[in-house]
Amino acid sequence: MLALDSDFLSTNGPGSVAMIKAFARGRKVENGNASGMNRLYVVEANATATGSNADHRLRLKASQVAGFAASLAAALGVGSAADELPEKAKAWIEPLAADLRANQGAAVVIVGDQQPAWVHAAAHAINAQLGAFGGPAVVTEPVLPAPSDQFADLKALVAEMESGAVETLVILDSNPVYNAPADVSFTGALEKVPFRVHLASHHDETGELCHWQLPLSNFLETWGDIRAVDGTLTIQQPLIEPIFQSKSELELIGLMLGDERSAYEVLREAYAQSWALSGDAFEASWRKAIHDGMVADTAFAPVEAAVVPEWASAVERPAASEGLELVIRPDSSAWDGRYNNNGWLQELPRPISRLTWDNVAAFSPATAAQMTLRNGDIVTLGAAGNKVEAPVWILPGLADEVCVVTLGYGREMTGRVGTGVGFNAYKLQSTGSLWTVAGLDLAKRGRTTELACVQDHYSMEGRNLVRIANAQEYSEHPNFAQEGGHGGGGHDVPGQGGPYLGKLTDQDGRREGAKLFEPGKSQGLAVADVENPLSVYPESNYAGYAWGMTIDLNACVGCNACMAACNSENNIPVIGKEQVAKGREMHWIRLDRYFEGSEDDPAMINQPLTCMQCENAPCEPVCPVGATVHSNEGLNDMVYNRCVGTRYCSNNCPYKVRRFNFLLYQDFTTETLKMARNPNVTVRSRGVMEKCTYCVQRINVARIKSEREGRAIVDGEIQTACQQACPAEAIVFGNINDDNSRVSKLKGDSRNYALLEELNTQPRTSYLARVRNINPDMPATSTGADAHAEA
Amino acid sequence: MNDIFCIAAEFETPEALIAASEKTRDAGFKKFECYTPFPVHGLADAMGLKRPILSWIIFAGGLVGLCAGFGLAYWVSVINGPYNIGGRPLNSWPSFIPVTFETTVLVASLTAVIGMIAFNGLPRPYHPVFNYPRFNKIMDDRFLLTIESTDPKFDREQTSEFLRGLNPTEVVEVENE
Amino acid sequence: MATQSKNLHEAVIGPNQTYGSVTDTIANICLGKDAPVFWYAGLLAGLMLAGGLAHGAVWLFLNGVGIWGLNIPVGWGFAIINFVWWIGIGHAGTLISAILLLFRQDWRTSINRFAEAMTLFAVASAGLFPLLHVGRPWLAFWLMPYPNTMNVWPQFRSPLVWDVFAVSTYATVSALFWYTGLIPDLATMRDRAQNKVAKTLYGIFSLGWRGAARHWERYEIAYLILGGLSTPLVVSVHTVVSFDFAVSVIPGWHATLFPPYFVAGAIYSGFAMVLTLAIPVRHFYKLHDLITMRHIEAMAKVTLATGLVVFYGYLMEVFFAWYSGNEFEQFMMKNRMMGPYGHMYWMLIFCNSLTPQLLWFRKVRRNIPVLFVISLIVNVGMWLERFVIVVTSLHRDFLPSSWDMYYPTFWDWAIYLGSIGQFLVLFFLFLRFVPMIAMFEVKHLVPQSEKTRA
Repeated sequence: MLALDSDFLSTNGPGSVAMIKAFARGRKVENGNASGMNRLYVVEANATATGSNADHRLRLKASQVAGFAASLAAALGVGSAADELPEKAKAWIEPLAADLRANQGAAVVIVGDQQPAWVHAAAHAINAQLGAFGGPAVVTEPVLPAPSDQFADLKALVAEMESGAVETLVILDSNPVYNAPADVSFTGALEKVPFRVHLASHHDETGELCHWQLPLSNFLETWGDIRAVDGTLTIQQPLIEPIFQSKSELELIGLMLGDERSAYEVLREAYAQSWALSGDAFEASWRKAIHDGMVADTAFAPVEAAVVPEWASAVERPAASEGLELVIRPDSSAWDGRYNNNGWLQELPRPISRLTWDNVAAFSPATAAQMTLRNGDIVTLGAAGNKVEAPVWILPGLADEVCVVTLGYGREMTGRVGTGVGFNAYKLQSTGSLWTVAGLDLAKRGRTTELACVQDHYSMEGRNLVRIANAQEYSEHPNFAQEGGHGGGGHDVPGQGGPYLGKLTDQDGRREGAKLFEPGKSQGLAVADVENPLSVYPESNYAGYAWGMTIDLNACVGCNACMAACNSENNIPVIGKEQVAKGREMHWIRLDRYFEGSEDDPAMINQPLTCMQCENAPCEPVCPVGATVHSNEGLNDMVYNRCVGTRYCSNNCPYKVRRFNFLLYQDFTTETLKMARNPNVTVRSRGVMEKCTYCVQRINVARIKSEREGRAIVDGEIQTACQQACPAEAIVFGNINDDNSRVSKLKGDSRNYALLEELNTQPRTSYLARVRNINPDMPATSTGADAHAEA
Repeated sequence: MNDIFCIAAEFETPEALIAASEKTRDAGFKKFECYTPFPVHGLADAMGLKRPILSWIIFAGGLVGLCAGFGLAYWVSVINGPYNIGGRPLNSWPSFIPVTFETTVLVASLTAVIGMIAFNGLPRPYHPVFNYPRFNKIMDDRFLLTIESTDPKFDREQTSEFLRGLNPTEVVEVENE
Repeated sequence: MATQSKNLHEAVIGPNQTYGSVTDTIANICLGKDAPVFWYAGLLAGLMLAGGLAHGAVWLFLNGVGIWGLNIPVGWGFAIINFVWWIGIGHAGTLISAILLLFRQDWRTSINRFAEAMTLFAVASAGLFPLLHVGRPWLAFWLMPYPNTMNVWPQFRSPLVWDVFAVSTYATVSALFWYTGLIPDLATMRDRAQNKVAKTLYGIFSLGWRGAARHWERYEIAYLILGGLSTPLVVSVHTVVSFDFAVSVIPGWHATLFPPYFVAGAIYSGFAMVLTLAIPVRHFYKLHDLITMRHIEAMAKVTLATGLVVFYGYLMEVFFAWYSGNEFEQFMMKNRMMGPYGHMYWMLIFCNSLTPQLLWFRKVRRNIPVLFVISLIVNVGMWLERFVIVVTSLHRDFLPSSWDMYYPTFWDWAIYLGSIGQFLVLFFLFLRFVPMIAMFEVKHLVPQSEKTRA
């Protein structure tokens, strides 16, 4: 796979869950057999979750991707090469083309939505050349029934509004006053419309300028239907009655047409007509569709398509920009701004940067050093005729000479969470250059601000935390994870969390982090050594169920879904930027991100971390009131009512996964929040320690059910919230006393290792080490190819 | 009953008091007492006092504290609430030592102080010896020897005479009321 | 032996003192109609600082420990640092009273009352912090064992429970020791007081003590045994406090060195504090005959000796980190020296290891102003030591992803300085109303009583 500026392994965008699942399945190697493993090349300007999964990653300005695509296409025999490519990119072309060609029919090029049309055309041409169509790539009819140039439509509408031709404007669930590009003067035109109606879930910038603000039902409150990315129809079923007296878009349009039926009635009638069924036959099909969550056999059939020969000249190939380039991307939390007022998402650390509660102007360390920028500096970004003030964040892994900003912030009218958070990058966007702006104007303001990042230190300091081998090492030494892998290098984020620890390098300048895997040399302690146990105490016996978990670091793509799911399942409070900046984030599962190799061109490593449920839990003996004790199923239980809050348990937790309610973080008064909470999980108040419980409430539900049915809990019956949400199926939970459970089998895999096992905490959660599928012919990058060469 | 509590003889130095005590003891008086501003070493021997049993009671107190401390920790951890705490055995006796030690010291110390006060018959806000006119100098710099009227050998005249023979600075009869 | 003891005497008390002059000098401080300006100034300063404590404590109870700079991973900050610092300071009092009593060091008598009072007030200040630092202080009593309807008890494997027992035992025994020592002196005060209220109060607290020989006999046994019990107790208390750290798995905490090193540090800081308090008190109350140069010099020597033990501890920490071959331990030491809190470490070495080396010189030991400054530096140094141990070990432990910084807030400082204020208020009240030197014990040393001394 080659991803050209495409963040397809994040939970944004259509089809991403399916793509992550498919990608991760191609990474789950077992017992030294890496032959079936896929290989991912990533070329990108931003540092994305997708980039962190790359086997080879190339940093290029977004505007250089077209040139790269052209050269690659030329190397594969289509079109003509670009000449202005940087050296490091040129070095990629030949070995990459050779590898793609060698995997004819199985290789595919994926292009990001934000790349211009020409790059998409080039990718289609390459895919056709590689025989990808019919294989990994599928062409169908468009999901939208009538695709159009939406900006052209919007401009036409604005022109009509300006001219006074529009008498009444009904805006359905949209916020153009906020998010129209800078060169579309929607706001001015809107005021010329005599009667303006806005249907939206929140009172926002557009609603403020309208005469009527109509309440929109949430998608969980209303009936409707949706098409998936492959065209499959899904009937949208509400979970609750509308909480407020609101209408869906469907119902509003119905009302405007004089049809007062509910969305449910409209929908049923439409399907009855579409299926040409009635009575019991319709009822059966309807119920089946609702039960299954989709209408069977409605996916679009693949269509035959050929690349037109003049693809390369149909649109002009965009030129690479000179100087500083602004790259605009949707935000992984706020997206286009619609989720800006969602506290869970605001506090969910953004992939790779681990920032919360802000969007930033991100620069690579080299570019920042060149412009003497430091974290938190306020700069003015000038583009599209507007100037916007933004805080600086230095993010290793970005392309040089690039400033990456995300959309969706700087909202002036939204709820109490999102108002005033971040800056509005839409002001820098124009219809001519939506995603990449050449020649960014940048000025320092001489002020700084504090940003709330949940991870201050990005080096693994040479510790065996995430164990990695490349595929060849893995084939030769399947047990590399137990023998000790290699950790990452790097150092502190400059300006965050104290001085640079770069001093801690050894004589020849090699970072301590670059501790390499050495075959045959054991670096960890063999905990399972029966004759020489680490503890003088006898092992505890766990009859019955013994819950355990594995997390496959090779499958984890770093999408954050586990964190969001855990927030929702376990009533985890949102604490706000100030508290996060103090280091008090409450997430029960976190996604650690380390940089490996050089700061300028690092590899990115993700490691989900949650309570390890240690059998010899260091937190338990230090609690003076017995508020954290072990269950007979091996869970490290928290007794919230008993906790007095000494925080000793957290201090003594080597994984630092415990979370403390330093203040009264929970909002006990807002009515709608009460309904959002999981009734099976205690809502913790001030002064109480909390942490992951392996979703003990779900275990208990399953236990009660199985006991009533007089049977044992079967494998897979209990899914923890993080496991359930993980699109990569990286998290597996189950009974480790059952030799046939999936988790037991995975724990028997050669890649299985325990984090900090030398402390003899005997964690119930273990990791499956990461394997990189390195192409030895590729130029050295920090993803491990050079490490391999040294070893 | 006599209407006086005792006859008191005042001395200026502890040495004089010790010498006087020895003579009083040798004269066969039993119910006599010395009052000094600080503990005078050798005085107890001079008076012929027996060694108090307080030390043994304090030792017993320490033993009680020891058993109570370990017993509590054991009972709580093994019998009453046998929880698995971090994979440790229920009877993690090394962990119980600090508490056991502290309770031993605590009970022994309380026994020492409460025992001392109780055996001394304190608190006692009023005592007839306070009627000694210059008693306020006793806790300052004077030394007093008293022979109480309940002593079998006590005789108002002879005892006064005897005390005067000990070279005190003054001999005074102390009223009972 | 006899000549040596005679030399000691001349040094431990002024040559012209008599029983009566000792009583006059000490008792008149309490019974005098007015107090010196120094006393009012000190009390006022103490009250002002203690106001910060009251303010801080109210704000803390209303909001939670989040008003401090704590976070995850640094779950303990100023509160625990201050707790250990104060408990350590308290140790000198018991040491002077108990251990020197057992070793029959006569020079202890003129400073022991004073040092014991310091112990009590230091323990009172220390005792505040465990209460303030818990997340739900209104439930802090759950650390005490008591029968309850929930049938739950403390968890006896936790060093914090050991702390509860150790500190409460220590506070109780120190108070008993102090009060037992006071009974005869309170009787003296009772007998001298003219004011009726004072006479009644001293009368109540002196329990009707009348100096009977039989009473003194039991009294001495009890006092000696208390001394014997307090000696291992004082060692155990800071050992248990060090277990709070040593029992954990955190690099920089998990060290078998901690108990002796903490006990030495405690005595070190305690003696420094006794010097800090004794020097001005001696000066303002003109107690040069009772607290003589010999006392001052002896305390300086103990400070030097314990300071050397502490310095040895610092060296051994470095050695252990290197010798362990454990990457976490080694990193911890590097981070302590060169990490973001490196300046704290080097300040600590300056205060605690280099400064006391001056005490090798007799001239320095006998130079009161210099000694006073050194004692202040050591007090600061011992606070820094606890900061380095608590914060730099926690802020960067095993997983670099969880590393973070700890920055104290206004409330951290307000409560810390407030605890010093509370200490000062109690101490100045003590100076005014309680005989600050054990009269009955000092009288032993008066030349008059030479022959009866043991």
